[in-house]
Amino acid sequence: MSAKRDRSSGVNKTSDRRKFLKGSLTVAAGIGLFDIVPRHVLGGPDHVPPSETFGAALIGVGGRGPGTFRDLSGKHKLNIRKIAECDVKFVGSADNKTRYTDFRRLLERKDLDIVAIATPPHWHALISIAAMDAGKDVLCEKPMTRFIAEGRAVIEAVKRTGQMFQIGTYGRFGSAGGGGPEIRKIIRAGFAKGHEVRVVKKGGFKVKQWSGPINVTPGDPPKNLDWDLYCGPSPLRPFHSPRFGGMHRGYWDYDGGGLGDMGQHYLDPISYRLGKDNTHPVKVEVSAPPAHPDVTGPWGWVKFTYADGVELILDSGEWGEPAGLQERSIGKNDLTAAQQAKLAEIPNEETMIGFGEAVKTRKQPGGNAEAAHYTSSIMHLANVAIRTGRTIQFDPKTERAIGDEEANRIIDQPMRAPWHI
Amino acid sequence: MPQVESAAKIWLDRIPNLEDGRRNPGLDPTVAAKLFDDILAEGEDAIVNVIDSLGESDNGKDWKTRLLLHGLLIHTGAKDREKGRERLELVYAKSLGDERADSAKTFVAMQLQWFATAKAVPALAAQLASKDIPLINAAAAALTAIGKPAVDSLRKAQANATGDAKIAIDHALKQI
Repeated sequence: MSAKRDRSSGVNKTSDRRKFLKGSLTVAAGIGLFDIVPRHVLGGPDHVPPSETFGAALIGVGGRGPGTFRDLSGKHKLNIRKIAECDVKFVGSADNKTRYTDFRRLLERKDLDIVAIATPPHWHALISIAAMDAGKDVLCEKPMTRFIAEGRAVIEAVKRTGQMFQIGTYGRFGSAGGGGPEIRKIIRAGFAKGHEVRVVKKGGFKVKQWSGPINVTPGDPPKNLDWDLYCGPSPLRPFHSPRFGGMHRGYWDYDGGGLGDMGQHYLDPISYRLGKDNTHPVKVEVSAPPAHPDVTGPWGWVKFTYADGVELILDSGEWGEPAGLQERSIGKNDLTAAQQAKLAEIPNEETMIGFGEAVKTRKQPGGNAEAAHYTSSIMHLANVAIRTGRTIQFDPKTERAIGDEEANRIIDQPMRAPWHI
Repeated sequence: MPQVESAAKIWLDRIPNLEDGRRNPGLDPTVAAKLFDDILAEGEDAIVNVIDSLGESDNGKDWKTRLLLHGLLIHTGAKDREKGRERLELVYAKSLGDERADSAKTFVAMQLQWFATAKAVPALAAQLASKDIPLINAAAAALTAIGKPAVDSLRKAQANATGDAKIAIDHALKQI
C-alpha cells in the first residue's frame, strides 16, 4: 500500500521504449528502409513521429490541474496523448481506464510517460516519488513539498530513477536574463562576504486569504470523495469542508498558508538570482503571533541569513510592524580589481532548459528537484519559525535545526500509515 | 466541576475573538507571553483546567483552548524554560489517562508529538489500545516523533494489537 514501489522493477520502462524506438529508426535508416516507411511514422516537417508523442495523465483535476496539464503541450511544447485523469473525488465514476481514484493504479500503466501533479501539497512528494519509481517524468505544481524532509526524498528519487522532474513555477527562467546572472555569479563566487546584500519581498503572500477557518462544524464528506485517501499521509480528521477544495491551504495538515501558495512563485527567481538554489539559510528570524496548531494564521515578517551574510526578508504587510530594512544589491563595481578579474574567468552557466526539452534530451530542467527543494525549503523554514515563534539556527548540510528538537519535528514529520517517504 | 471551568475561562477570555467570526486574529506576542507565564505560575491545576476545557468533538468551538495548550508548549520551548516544559509534558501525558473525550485525548497526543520525550512514552503507548482510530494514529505519530526511546513500548503493544492499531504500530516502527 505504500507509495514506495519495488525499486528493482518497473523503472524506466517507458524511457527504454523511447530508446528502442530511436534505435530502431537508426537501424531503419542504415538499411535503406526510408523509402517504404510512411512519413507519419518517421516524422519530418509537420509530422511528429510516434516516438515523440508522450502519454500523459493528470493527477488532481481541481483548481490548477487543467492548467498544469495544458502546460505540457503549451508552455513545454510536448506532443501529448492524454491517457487518463485521477482524483480522489472520482468515487463512483472511476473506470480505471480513463478515470482513476487511486494514483497507484494509474501509475501501473505502461503507456504513461509523464504525470502532471496538481493535488494539494501534502501529496506532491509521495506521488512524485511513486511516479518516478514507476518510470514516469513529473511536472509537479508548487509548492514541491509540505515539509523539508520530503524534498530530500524527491531529490533521491530523481537520482535513483533518472526521471525528469520540473516544478510548476518558472520565475528563475525570467531571472536568467538582465542583471540576474551577474549577481548570481558574484554571490556564488563568495564575493558577497563583507558587503550588505539583501532582498526584501514585500506583500503578496495572501496571509489573511489563506488563514484557515477555525470554528467549522464537521459533516459528512461528499459521496464522490474518498476522504481517507484525500487525508492520505496527514491525520485523518473529521470532514471540515474548508479542508478540501482550495481552502486546504489554510491547514497545516495539507499546506503552509499564503507562503505555501505564493512562496515558491516569489522565491524561485530570488533564490536563483541570489545563487542560493544549492544551499539553505543558516538563521531564520521571525515576527509573528503564537500560531494555532491546526490552521495557518498571521505573520509579520521573516528574515533569513545565509552563511555568507546575504539576507532575504519576506514582509507580509498583513500583521504587526514591518521589518524596516532596505534592499541592498551588489554589482561588479563593488568588487576589488582582483575579484573582478577572477569573476571574468568564471565561465557562464549553461542555459537552463525547460521540461519539454528535458523529457526529450533526458537532461534535468531548470526547475529541477534540487533547485525546487532549496526554494521550497525557504518557505518551509519561514513556517517553522512562525510555528515555533523563535529564531531557528539551521545546518544546511544536515538539513536540521540546531539544538531545536521541536523545529526538527516540523522539518521531518511522521506520516499516517501506510504512507512514508 | 463549575469552578474548574470558570478557572479556564479566565485564561481563555484573554484571547481576542475570531476575525470575521472565522479566523485567528493573532495574539500580541507580549500579551501571549504574559498569559502563558501566568498559567504556568498557577501550577499543574491551571494547566489541567485548560485541558479540561477541550471540547468533546473537533468542531473548532474550543479553538482558544487549543491555541493555549499549543502556545504553552511553544512558550516553554525557549532555552531558559526547560523546567516549565518538563512539567507541561508530565501534565499533558498524565491527562491522557484521565476520563475525557477521545477527541480531546487525540489533540493532547498531537501536542505531545511536538515535544514529548521518553517520559511520555507509557502514557502514549497506552492509547494504542484505544478503539478510536484518530487517537491511535495520533499516539503512534507522537511515538514515532519520540523515536528510539519508544521502540520497546511499541514492540510490546504490537504483540497484542489487531486491525488499525496493528497497522499504526507496524508503521511507526518502520518509520523509526
